[in-house]
Amino acid sequence: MRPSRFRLPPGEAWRENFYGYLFISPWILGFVIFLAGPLLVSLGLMFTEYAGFKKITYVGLANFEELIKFDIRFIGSLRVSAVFAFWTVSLAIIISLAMALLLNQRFRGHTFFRGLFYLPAAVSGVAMTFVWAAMFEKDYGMFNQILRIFDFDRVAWLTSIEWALPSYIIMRLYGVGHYMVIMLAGLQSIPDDLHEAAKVDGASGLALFRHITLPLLSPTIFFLMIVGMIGSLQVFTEGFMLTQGGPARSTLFYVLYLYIVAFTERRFGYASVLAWLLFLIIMSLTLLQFWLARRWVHYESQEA
Amino acid sequence: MVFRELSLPVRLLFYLFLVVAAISILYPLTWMSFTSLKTNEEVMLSPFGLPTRISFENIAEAWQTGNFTRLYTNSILIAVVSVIGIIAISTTAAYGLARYHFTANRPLFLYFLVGMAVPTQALMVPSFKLMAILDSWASALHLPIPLLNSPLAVILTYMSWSSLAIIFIRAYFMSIPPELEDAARVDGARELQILRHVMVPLAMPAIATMTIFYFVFFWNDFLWPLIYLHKHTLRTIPLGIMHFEGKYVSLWSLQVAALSLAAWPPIVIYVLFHRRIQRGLTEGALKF
Repeated sequence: MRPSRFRLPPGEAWRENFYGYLFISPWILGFVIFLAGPLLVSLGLMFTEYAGFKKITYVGLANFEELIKFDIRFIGSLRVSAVFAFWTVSLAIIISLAMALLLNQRFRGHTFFRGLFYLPAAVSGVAMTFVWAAMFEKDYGMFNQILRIFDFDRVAWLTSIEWALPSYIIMRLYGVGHYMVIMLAGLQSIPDDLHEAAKVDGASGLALFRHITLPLLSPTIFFLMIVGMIGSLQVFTEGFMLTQGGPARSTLFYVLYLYIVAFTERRFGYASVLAWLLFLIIMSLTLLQFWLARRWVHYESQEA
Repeated sequence: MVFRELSLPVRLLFYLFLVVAAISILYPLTWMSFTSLKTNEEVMLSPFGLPTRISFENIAEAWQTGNFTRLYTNSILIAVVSVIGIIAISTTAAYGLARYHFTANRPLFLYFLVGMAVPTQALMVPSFKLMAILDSWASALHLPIPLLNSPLAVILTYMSWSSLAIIFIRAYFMSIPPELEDAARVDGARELQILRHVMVPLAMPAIATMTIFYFVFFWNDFLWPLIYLHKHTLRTIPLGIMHFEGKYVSLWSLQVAALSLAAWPPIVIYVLFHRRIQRGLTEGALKF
């Protein structure tokens, strides 16, 4: 559709470059000052000790050494975030897939329910976090009220070591509607005639799901895995507001720890190491998933 | 499986499941709204019942004590200016990428794809420091651009996160046939006029989706105002809520009223625009 750059006359090529750079220049300006600059500075800060004041000391690789040898909180926070990301992403995908399969049926009111199920994802944020704290409250909170109806013991949701992290996972799953909407779009992009043809051949409902729906949905599931993983490894706000990492560091999320090192302990050099390590972890997990995806993600165009 | 072919009990079971799911989703939000509309006595007497009569007592008091006029002004200022900035930058950049074969086109596009994965937390420390440095330069030059303890710092940081908007709007521009622009060019329109009077009106669906998306995102964001704004007069709604909840822990109804004041605007935006938001989400995912 677009003419190849190499076939343009010289005057045209000049024109393409002039207008191209003209239109992109406001972005480039902002990028250089507010993104590339800070990123480079934080790369340099990794080799220093710096509290944000005048004095800045070069310490070589000491920050990296501390990270590997002495930092228990780092290992702990990495574990907390990994557990959190694993459970939120896998549960969100299973639940949203089930919800999307239901809502994909043509019944009265399906647009209403779809709109409703997405609502929590739109109102996430500080206010919802506190509403959830109220839901988890020990005496009057929703969850313990439900448990009481079924005669179970009360659970100290956000205040016990074993339940605090699961509480955050439940809280996060409240936004599962976001996954569901995308899953539903994936389902609706599967052409009906494939199912019809398989049914004529006598395939059962389960076989249809296993051999047609699931493979054709795999790009969508893959997209949600990537986006979900990136998002849940960066979780911060909820933890900062409700438990500040406690009890006994059981909810010390990685980014929360990063924030504490930077702005409470004012160790900017070490915080930069933590930040770049997070970037590295996210990047390599994303690449790993892309690599694994070749085995299980099915793209229609490859088959054709 | 066609829904109408199912037996009645199965269909009823299906609806029962949906209704239960709907109730559990609505419960926290309704609880919040009802509690904030109750009187204090009623909250004590029946914390989970419906309000017998609607009272705006707590809402009004929360607005007063939480200084919500100020919080709203700050939040709206930051969100609106950032969104306008990000849309202006992204639309022009997306147009450049979609229509001109300049040398950096391909590498830049690849950067935008990777750029979405860069955790913004990596920028916390240096951005904070950068604003202090720029602020000292500005005051040395007697420029009236405060960046330390200033909403401008938050706005400038937000405005640099345009990767998603650029990819999204670029994809939309590319689906518009170039004949329209050529026609305008024959009529003697300049490139910038074409962008403003031909392309922007045509790409309005994509631009609107990004506007809503970024607005809600900036409205809810907590981390960056927390890092940049250390004066209580500058607090945005999320920051204000955090301090409010810390200060009035014992007064439940008042606390919840403050939460309602913060949560209602995104809810209203969602209810008004949910079709557009959902369509935008799905378009983005299917282009992956």
